[in-house]
Amino acid sequence: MDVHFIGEIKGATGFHFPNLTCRFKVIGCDDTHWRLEAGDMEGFTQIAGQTSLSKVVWNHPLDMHFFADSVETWPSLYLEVWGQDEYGRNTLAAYGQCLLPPTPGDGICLECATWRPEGSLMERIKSLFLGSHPQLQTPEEASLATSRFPLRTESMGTVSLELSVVMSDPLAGGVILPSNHQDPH
Amino acid sequence: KQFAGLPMVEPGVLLHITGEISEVKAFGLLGGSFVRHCLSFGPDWSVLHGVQEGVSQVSFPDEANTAVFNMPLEVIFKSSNPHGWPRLSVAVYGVDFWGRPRPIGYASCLVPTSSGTRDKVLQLYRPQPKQHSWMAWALQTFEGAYPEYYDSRFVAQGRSREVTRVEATGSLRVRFNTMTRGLNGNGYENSVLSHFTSHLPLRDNSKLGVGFELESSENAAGESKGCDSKDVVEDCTKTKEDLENAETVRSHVGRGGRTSSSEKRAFTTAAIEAAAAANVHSQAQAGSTRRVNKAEDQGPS
Repeated sequence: MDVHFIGEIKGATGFHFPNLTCRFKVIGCDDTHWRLEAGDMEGFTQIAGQTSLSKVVWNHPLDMHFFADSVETWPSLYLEVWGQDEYGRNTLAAYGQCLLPPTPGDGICLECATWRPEGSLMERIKSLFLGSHPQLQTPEEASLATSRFPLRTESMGTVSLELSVVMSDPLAGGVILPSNHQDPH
Repeated sequence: KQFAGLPMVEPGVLLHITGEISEVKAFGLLGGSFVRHCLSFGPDWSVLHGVQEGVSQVSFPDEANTAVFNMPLEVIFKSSNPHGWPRLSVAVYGVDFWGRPRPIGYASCLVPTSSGTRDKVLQLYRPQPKQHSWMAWALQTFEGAYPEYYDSRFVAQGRSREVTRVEATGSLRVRFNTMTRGLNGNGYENSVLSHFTSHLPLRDNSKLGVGFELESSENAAGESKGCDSKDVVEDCTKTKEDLENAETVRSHVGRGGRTSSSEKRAFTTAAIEAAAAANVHSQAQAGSTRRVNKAEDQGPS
């Protein structure tokens, strides 16, 4: 079946960083069953400079067209928010991920809560002076991992997205959605 | 078969957009401002009617820093693929303290993918020069060389945005009334309610008069797919002739389109089913087509 995710990454709230940008990537879907037909699966938004209005506006369009054979895995959107300070240094602001909506609809608003690793005391002192907050080595696997147990994280802001999902031929693949469910009578 | 005197129905998916760019709320509108809008879309889309760009009047704000434009939009698109769904990009321009033109903000939004009326509030932003750069300040103050986007459609694309830095300035409200035709008939589901529109009973196909030829039912027998198509057909059609016609149409609807000879879906007969299932939509479209023609005669104001 064809699955279209069309929408935008609107912006973020709750970050106390200047100059935020968001890197997004679609992960979590099985490569053998999901094929990207058109659009970009990953990218970078613009850098939103913070002014007195304190609104982080990215307004980054997403338009992905997948061919899917199986719904055993469903794509998630993995986000990395980066901040740039006044000296031009890039610091990690947060990681986040949210599942792309699995039902067709228009104007679905998603609020993706984000987090970042806490780091040890020395790492936090270093990041204060050198501007490099500790990052994960394999953040994408960590986002989808079933167990992240020893990792200590702190909560950061929220990224907001608005998506529309258009699907075709779900019945041909044997998939029953709330929209094409046949009533027995 | 020729059916004279009846409107030709375009195959594929049609998207009819009407609406307006209502108002802008921002600082810096005092000297007068105007909005430029344009619609960008993917390679599978084309404009059937209407103008995809426009410039509004110059409007002055009220005490609440809100400038009202009421700029109408009316476009009909034709497509075979939801990829590249149209996006509206807006660019608001005003003047600075010395009366030189300056961009107030840009934004883009996706035209809604389902029929209905939606109000959207877009957050405007404009490119910001490098912070703490005295050169940029000097250029702006003395020459009035404010950074702006060369093409206002830039905000409707995702590529090459990572090198731009922006500042948020205000907001813009836009209202969309969208009507889609053929989306559900071609097997696309864009909402949880699309079940009800895609499985409506087929009308009497022989009297549709849409100018398309129905193929013979021998081809239909081997190709019908999906457990639902036969059930619906048996429920809804009464005579044998209707049954044959209905099965023919059903089999060519874009379900399992990849098994047909070409990769494109068979929109010809699918459009008949879509037209049958959404009679109201096509009549509404015909009515508004007349309005679009009238607007084009008056010309851009």
